[in-house]
Amino acid sequence: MTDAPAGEPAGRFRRTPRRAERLLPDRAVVQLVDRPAVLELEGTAFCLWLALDGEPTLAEIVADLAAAFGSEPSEVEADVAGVLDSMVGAGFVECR
Amino acid sequence: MTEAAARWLAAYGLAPARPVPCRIELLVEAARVHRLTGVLARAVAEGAVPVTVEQRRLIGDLAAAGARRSVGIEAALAATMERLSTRGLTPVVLKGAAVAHLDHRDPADREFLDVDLLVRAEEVPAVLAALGEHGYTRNLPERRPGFDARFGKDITVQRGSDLEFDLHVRPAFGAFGQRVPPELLFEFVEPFSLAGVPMSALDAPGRLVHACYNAVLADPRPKPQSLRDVAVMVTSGRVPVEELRARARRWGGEAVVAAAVARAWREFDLPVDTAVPAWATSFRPRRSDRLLLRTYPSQGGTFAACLLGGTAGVPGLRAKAAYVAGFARPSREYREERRRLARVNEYREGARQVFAAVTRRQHG
Repeated sequence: MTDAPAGEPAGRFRRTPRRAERLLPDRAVVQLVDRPAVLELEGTAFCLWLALDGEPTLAEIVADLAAAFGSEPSEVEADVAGVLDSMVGAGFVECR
Repeated sequence: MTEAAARWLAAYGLAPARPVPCRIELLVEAARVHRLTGVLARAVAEGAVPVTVEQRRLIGDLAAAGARRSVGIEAALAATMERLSTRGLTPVVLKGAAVAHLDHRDPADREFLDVDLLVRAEEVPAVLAALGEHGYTRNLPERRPGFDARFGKDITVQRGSDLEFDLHVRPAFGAFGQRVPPELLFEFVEPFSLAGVPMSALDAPGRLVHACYNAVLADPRPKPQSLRDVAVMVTSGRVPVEELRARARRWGGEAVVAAAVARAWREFDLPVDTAVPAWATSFRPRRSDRLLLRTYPSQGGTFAACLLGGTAGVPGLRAKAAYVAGFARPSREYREERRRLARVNEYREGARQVFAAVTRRQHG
């Protein structure tokens, strides 16, 4: 676990509780209660979904994924933030 | 050979893994047909089934297709339960969605195609009205006025071609279904949350008894997935044998529960090393229960015999007459809709089944 860098919003991310979900060995399949779209997450997006356990901050997610893929946090941060942003926008993830 | 593959899949995780009994293609086909793709994907991930990269991908895609169906149904269920609860209606979730989340090690192991809800008889019209407001329509009219609430098992409503709710007032067809006092089913429930929406299922003993009913009484041949439900619940050890027997007796169905557990143990070749299978495999039902069990298709009976056998479970002569009338003289609307949907003619099919059974007995 890492602390959020100075100046970063201290928001914590979590999967919305209003979702139906199956975690398969290689992917997650998710549907919201009120929307028909199904989200199917594979590869790094699947890892990101799993990294949302425990309501982490962006810095914590970045650190987890960087460690998992053997990268520097700075290399993955922009991608992670982008994917999270779209997940929040679509209602699958909440930031609070 | 597909049957052996289905049995292997349905038994996966219940006992030390055995060698895969067939080619991978048959295993994939069995998983698809019997809705066990999640189990197969897990068996592959755990190294129990050797596969190529392409096969792993194919199995992952199949399991994802099953998962998409299940989450779609669960999302609809959650939205529906929310709407019903605002009207003070609180049906109990049966089978698939409840069992997947409360009994299986992983919900992905238990695929399903529809929602099953246990509804209080007096709430059937209100639940149907609420579902109707959201685009669900009955697939068939009521057999006769009042039949659903008194005797009905499945009342099917559909929205589009892929979303179906089965409303149950009774837990099974025939005598054993009619025997269960419906109010008893609502006495013992377990709250749970699905997609963030609170709802309730039967409690653990009730779910196990109902899983046994579903395995033995619902289909002409017990489905591997239904028997897996029974075996998963028994091997979890959550329901002690005395509690199971007590609940089964209250349902009037010790014979059904014993038959289902014994069948699961036989089909999956599981060791009889705990109290529940030991009881089930040595249980001798009363003669009357044995006869009633034999009216069910999975026990050598016919659907017609099973429905007629239901009169044994209906208390009182007037009620028995009303029950028989529902099958012998359904309403004109019901008959016409069946004809329009090109459904089997019930009289003709009943006669055919009885004739086939008699012929089988004479030649057997």
